[in-house]
Amino acid sequence: MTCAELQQVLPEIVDRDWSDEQEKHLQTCSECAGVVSDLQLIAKESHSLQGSEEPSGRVWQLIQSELNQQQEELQSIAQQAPLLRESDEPSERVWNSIASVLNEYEADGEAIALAARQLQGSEEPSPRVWNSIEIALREEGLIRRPPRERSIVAAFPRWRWQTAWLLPVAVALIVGVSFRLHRDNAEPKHFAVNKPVVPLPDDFVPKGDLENADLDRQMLDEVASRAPGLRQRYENDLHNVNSYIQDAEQSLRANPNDEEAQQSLINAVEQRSMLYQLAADHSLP
Amino acid sequence: MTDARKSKSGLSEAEAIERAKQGDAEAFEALYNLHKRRVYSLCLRMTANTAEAEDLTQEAFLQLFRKIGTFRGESAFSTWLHRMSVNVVLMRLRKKGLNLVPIEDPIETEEETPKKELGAADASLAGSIDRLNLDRAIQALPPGYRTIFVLHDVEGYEHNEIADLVGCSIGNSKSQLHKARMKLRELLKTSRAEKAVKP
Repeated sequence: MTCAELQQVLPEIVDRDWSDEQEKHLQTCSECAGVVSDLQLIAKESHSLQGSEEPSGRVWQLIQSELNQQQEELQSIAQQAPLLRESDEPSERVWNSIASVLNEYEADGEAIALAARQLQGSEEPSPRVWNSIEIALREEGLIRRPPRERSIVAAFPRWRWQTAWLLPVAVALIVGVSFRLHRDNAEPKHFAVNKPVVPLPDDFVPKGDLENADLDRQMLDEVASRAPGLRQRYENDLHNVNSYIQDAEQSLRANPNDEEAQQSLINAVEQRSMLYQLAADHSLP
Repeated sequence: MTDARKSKSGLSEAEAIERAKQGDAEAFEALYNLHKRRVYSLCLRMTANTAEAEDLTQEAFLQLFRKIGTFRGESAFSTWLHRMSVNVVLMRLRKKGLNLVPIEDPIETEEETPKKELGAADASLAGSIDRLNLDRAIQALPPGYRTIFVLHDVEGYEHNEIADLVGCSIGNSKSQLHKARMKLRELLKTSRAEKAVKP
């Protein structure tokens, strides 16, 4: 190995172990050995410089000053931050707006509560409901024979099967009503949808109602003769059911396709037929 | 061991670190006293300027105190601190426009290249290097050489670490270190020769 060859690899090998060839050259070449020795000495002595210098006291003073300033700034921010939370007061207008909204809510709430209370018990089920219930209870043996003082309408199921002969009468009435409805539907020109509904006069009596009025009087006389104590109640029931029929008929005139009105009319007619059967019932007192 | 190191206030390094994380001023001072010499020496060697070294020392410790909450102890505290200090110095040198990264395989000029002449055996530096001369010689190194030399031979960083810090290749780091050492040898010999001439 020559000096030039050693110099070429010196940057790589100076801090490591030497090869045999390099070691042999260094033993025979004082120049190369001197260079390597100097470089190793420089590296060794340089390491002793680590941490050899002491900064002046001014450095820590500056650091401390900076730290104190930062601390003061942080404390200032920490002190002022909560003040910011309550420093700005909203104008009176803001509270007025809030109060206005709250009042509206309160008024609406009261109105809703009032309306809700008025809804309590406002709807009455049709008599069919109770009839169905009573039939079911009786069939299951859960109720006993009703006393005679009870409503004659509610008492109807007890004896209606004993007076089966009156059933054709009810059927005839239903057929009559259905025929009337059919006739009304067949003459739409009187109740055209696009025409305004003309209110009926107070003294208006539907066709056929005169016949029913005669029948009503007969039935009322029958009840009065056999059970005078029930006459008033029977008359009231007849009046109610007739009013019910008239209302349903008026609704159907206004709107012949009103299914609810149709069903109501059928229910009412059935109810009236029950009253007729009751009047003819021999079990009445 | 870091825990065994005690500051003037009696706090161990680990205690000082934990208390400094809570903003304890005394703990800050303890950490400063434990590490100020190495940080300042690093700054001074790399800048060759006392005022700038003090300024950089201040900056390095302030950065330490700002970031100490992020120290999780994965590495030794001194390693973490010194790497942060090196980065502070390198950042400053970059801002000054100094060429930290020596050019790979530079075309050597007569002025920059250490002389190929190896010198006679009797011209060895053995026994003639004192700290003052070495210090002056290091300050006389070109900034690029000086950075690599200080990081490797003074601070003990490996070439791969230097390459990572400075942003050069490992081979370039080795090459620059060798040239820096050769330059120092020349400077030291010159200094010795000048002293010998002077009465």
